[in-house]
Amino acid sequence: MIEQFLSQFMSSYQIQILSFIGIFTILAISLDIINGYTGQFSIGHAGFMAVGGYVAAYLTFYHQIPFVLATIAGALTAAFFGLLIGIPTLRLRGDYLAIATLGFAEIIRVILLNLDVVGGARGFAGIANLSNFDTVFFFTIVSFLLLYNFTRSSYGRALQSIREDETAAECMGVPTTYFKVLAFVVAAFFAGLAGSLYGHYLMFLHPNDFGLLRSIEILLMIVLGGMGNLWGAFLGAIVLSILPEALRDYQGIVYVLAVIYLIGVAISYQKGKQNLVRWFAGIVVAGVGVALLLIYGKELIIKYAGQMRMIIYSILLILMMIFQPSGLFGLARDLTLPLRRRLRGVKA
Amino acid sequence: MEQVIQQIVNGFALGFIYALIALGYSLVYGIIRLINFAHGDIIMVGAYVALFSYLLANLGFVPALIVAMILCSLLGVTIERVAYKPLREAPRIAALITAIGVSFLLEYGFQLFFGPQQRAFPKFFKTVHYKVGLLSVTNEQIFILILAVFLMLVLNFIVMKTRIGMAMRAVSFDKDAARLMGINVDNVISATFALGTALAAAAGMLLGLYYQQIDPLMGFTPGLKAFISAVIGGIGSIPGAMIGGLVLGITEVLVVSLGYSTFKDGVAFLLLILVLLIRPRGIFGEKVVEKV
Repeated sequence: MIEQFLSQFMSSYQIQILSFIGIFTILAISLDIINGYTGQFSIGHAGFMAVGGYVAAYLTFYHQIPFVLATIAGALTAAFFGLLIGIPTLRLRGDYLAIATLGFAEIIRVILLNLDVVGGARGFAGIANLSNFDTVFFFTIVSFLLLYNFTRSSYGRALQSIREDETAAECMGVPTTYFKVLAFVVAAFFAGLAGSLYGHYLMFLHPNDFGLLRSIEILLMIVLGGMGNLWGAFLGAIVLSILPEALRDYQGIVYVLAVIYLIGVAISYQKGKQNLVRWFAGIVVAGVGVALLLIYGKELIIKYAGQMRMIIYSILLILMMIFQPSGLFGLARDLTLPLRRRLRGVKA
Repeated sequence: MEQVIQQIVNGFALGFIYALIALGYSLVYGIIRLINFAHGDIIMVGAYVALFSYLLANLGFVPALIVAMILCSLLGVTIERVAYKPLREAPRIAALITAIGVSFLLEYGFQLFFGPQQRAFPKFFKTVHYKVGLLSVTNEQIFILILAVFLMLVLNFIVMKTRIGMAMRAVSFDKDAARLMGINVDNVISATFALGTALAAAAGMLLGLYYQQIDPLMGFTPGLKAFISAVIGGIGSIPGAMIGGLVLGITEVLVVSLGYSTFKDGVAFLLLILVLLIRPRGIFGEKVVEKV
C-alpha cells in the first residue's frame, strides 16, 4: 500500500534503503535498551538477529507457517536465547559481559555454519519474499511504540536506575538481576523480529552476515545517534543505512565529508563558545583542509572509497566517544536549548 | 593415545603464545579496568613490523623482535594517550567502545595500506624435527616455549622487583591512593601499556612463526582468546595467565585433531561462558569485593 504510493516518486532502490532503515531502526532501538538504558554492554546483537531470522525462515520454508506467526516464533526463540545469555549477567559486570555476548553471538554463527538443514556455509537460499516495505514499516512503528512506552514505564525507570548506579539501585529495592535479564529478553525479542524481516526481505541468509561486524554496526548506530534515547537510535539507524550507499561515488563522498564537517563545526562551537575567534579560525583551517583534500585527493578517494568505510566507521566511533558522548541527538538538544528556553519563556 | 599426547605437545606452543598475549591483556586490564580490544591488533602490527624489518633490512629474528617490541610499545603508548586518556573518568562503556574503534582502525588501516591478502611469514630458521621417544618436536616449538617463558620471567621480575613494577601494583590496587603517595599515575599507566604491547609484539612474531602466514585480521581472534585465557586463569595473575593459555591452546588443538576444526573458535567462547558461570574469578583469581 505505502510501497505503491512511494513508488510513484521513488526508485525501488530508494525504497529498499528505506526498508533497511526500518529494519535497522528496530535493531538499534532494541540494542539501546541494553546498552543505553540499562548501561550493560552487549556486542552480540547480531546473534539474536540471526536466531530470529533463521527460525522464522525455517518455519516459513519447511512448514509454510504464515509470516506473522513465524516472525513471532522467531522473535520468541531469540528472546529465549536472550534469557540464556542474560543469566550469566547475574554474576558479570561490564567488561566480562561484553566478551560473553560477543562469544555467544560467535557460537551461534559457528553452529549455523555447521547446520545443514538451513544451508550451513552455503547460506539459506529460497526463503519466500514475505516482507516488503509495508510490513517493515508496520513492524518498525509497532516496535518503536512498544519500546518507547516500555522505557517510560516504571520498568524503564528501573533499567535506568541500574545504569546510573547499580549498587544504589539495589539498595533502593530494585531487583537488579531481574531487570538486567529482562532487558536482554526484551531486546533479543525485537532483534529476532528484525532478523525475520531481514531474511524474508532479502530472501537469503548467511551466517557470516551476523558476525561481529554486524553487531558493531548496530552499536555504532546508537553511539552516533546518542545512547539512552530511542530517537537517537533511530537517527543513527538512518545515518548508517544511508552512509554506505553515499560512500559509493565521489559526489556522495563530498556530501558525507561536508556533513561531517558541519557536525564538527557544531560540536566545536559547543565546546569553544568562550573563545569565538579561536573557534572561527579553527573551523576555517579545517574547512580549507577538507576542500583541499577533496580537490587534490579526488583520485585517491575514488580508488579507496570501498575500503574506507570501516576506517570512517572506526574513526567516528572514537571521535564521538571522546568529543560528543551524547551523540548527534544530544548535540541537537544542546544546540537548540537556548531556543527552546526562549519558546517556553524560561530565562537562561 | 600417542596422537593425543603429540597433539598436547603441539598445543603447548600455541598455549604459550596465548599466555604471552594474555599477560599483556591482564596487565592493562589490571591497571585501568579496560578490555583493550586493540591489544589483539597490536599482535598483528608486531608481526608486520617483523616481516618488513626482515624484507627491507634483512634483520635476523632477535633484532627484528627488538624492533617490533619497541615500535609496538610506542604505538601502544600513543593509543593510550590519544584514545583512552581523555576517557579515563568517563563511563566505562565509552572507553570500551573507543577500544573497539581503535581495534577496527588498526585492522582496516592495515588492510588499506598493506592489502587484505595473506603474506608468508619469513622462516627465520630452518625447521628441525627432534624425536623424543614416539613424539616429534620441532625446534620452532622449543624456541616458542623458551622465548615465552623467558619473557614471562622478565615480566615477573619487572612487576615484582622494580620500582616501576611496585608503582604499577600500587596504581592497580588503588589509583587515587597511589596518586596521593606521589606516584605519577599517568606515567605508570603509559609504562604498563608499553610493557603489555611489547609482549603482544613478541607474541605476534611467535604467532607468525606458528601459522607461517600473517594478514591484517590475524590478531583479533587470538586477542579475544588470550583474554579468555586470562579470565580462565584469573585476571591479574601471571601464573593464571600461563595456565589459562595452556588450557585453551591444548583444548583448541585437541578439538581440531578430533576433526571439528569449524568449531575451533566456538569452543573457546564456550569455555569462557562455563568458567564465568562456575568460577567467575578464574583459577588463580582473587575474590573481588564490591566497594561502594
